[in-house]
Amino acid sequence: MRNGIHALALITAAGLLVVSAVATADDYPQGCVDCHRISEKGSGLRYEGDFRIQPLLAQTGHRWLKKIKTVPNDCTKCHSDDSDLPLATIVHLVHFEKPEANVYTTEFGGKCANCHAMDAPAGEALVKSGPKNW
Amino acid sequence: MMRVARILAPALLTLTGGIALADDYPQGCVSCHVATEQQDMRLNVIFDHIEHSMAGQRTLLIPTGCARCHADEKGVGGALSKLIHRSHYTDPVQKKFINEFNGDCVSCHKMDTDTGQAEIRSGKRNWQLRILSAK
Ligand code: HEC
Ligand code: HEC
Ligand code: HEC
Repeated sequence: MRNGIHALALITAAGLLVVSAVATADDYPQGCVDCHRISEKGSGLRYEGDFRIQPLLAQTGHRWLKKIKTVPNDCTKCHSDDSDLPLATIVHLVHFEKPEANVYTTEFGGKCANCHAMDAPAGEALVKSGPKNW
Repeated sequence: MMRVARILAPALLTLTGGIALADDYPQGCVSCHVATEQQDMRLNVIFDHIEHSMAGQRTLLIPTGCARCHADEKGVGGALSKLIHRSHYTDPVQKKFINEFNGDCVSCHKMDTDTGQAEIRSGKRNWQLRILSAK
C-alpha cells in the first residue's frame, strides 16, 4: 500500500506546475474532481497536463475504474472504513504524508475544506463529491 | 478516531475563509478559548453562560475528558462532535470563529501525517476549579 501511495504522491508532484495564488472562494465545490482535471489553456488551473484520477491511478497499476460513477463515494465500495485500505487513510496519506515536501500542503495550503464541507445544522462533517470526469 | 461520517451529493454547504496555519491553536479548544484584556472566552465562563452543570468546568482534559458524557449519541450529553460543529459553523459564533480567529478544521483537528488519521487536539483546562459554588 505504502508503495502505491508513494508512487501516486510522486506522480502527483511531478504533474504539477504550480502557480502561486491563494484560493479565497470555494474553488472545489465537488471536491476531488474539481481539482483533478485536464488543464487546458486559460482554465486557471494550477498545473499543466492530465491530472484526472483515473490516469494517475493507472500509472500506479491500479485496475481500471469501470464501475465508478461518483467520486469518491463509489470508491468506498472497496475502500470501506472496515477494509484493509480505508479510503480516508489512503487519501489523507497521499495528500499529507511528508508535509514539508508534499505538494498538497506546500502549494495548495493543505486545507481540509477542499475535500470536506460541514453540514452545520446536523453538526456533521461531509465529504464533497461529484461525477467522474474520465 | 476520525471516520468520515457521510459522503453526500455536492451542492451542500461548502466552506470558505482564510487559511489557518497548522499550529495556531496547538491544543485546540483551550488555545483559542483564553482570557485576554478585551474578553474572557475561557470555557468555564462559557459553561456558566450556557448553564452547563459543574461537570464541564471539572473536566481536566479538554475536550477528550468530555467524552465521559459526550462520546456519542448515547452519552447523557449527546455527541460532542455535533454540538461543537453545529455551534462553530452557525452564526453568530461562526462569524467570530472565522473572521476574528481565522478558525478552520485544523483549529480543533490535527492530521497525523504518518498514519493518515485525523485527530482531535486536546489540552489541560486553563482555569482554576471553583469547588464551593453549588449548582
Ligand atoms: C479558533 C478558535 C476556537 C476554537 C479552536 C474553539 N472555539 Fe469554541 N468558540 C469560539 C468562538 C469565537 C466562540 C463564540 C464566543 C463568543 O460568542 O464570545 C466559541 C463558542 C463556543 C461555545 C459556546 C457555543 C454556544 O452555543 O454559544 C462552546 C461550548 C465552545 N465554543 C466550545 C469549544 C470546544 C469544546 C472546543 C474544542 C473542541 C472549541 N470551542 C474550540 C472559538 C473557538
Ligand atoms: C457529567 C456529564 C458531563 C460532562 C463531563 C460534560 N457534559 Fe456537557 N452536557 C452534559 C449534559 C447532560 C448536557 C445537556 C444535554 C441536553 O440538554 O440534552 C450537556 C450539554 C452540553 C452542551 C450543549 C449546551 C447547550 O446549551 O446547547 C455543550 C456545548 C457541552 N455540554 C459541552 C461540554 C464540554 C466541552 C465538556 C468537557 C469540558 C462537557 N460538556 C462535559 C453532560 C456533561
Ligand atoms: C471548534 C472545534 C471543531 C472544528 C472547527 C471542527 N471540528 Fe470536527 N470535531 C470536533 C470535536 C470536538 C469532535 C469529537 C471528537 C471526539 O469525540 O474525539 C469532532 C469530530 C469530528 C469527526 C468525527 C465525528 C464525526 O462527525 O463523524 C469528523 C469526521 C470531523 N470532526 C471533521 C471535521 C471537519 C472536516 C472540520 C472542518 C470542516 C471539522 N471537523 C471542524 C471539533 C471540531
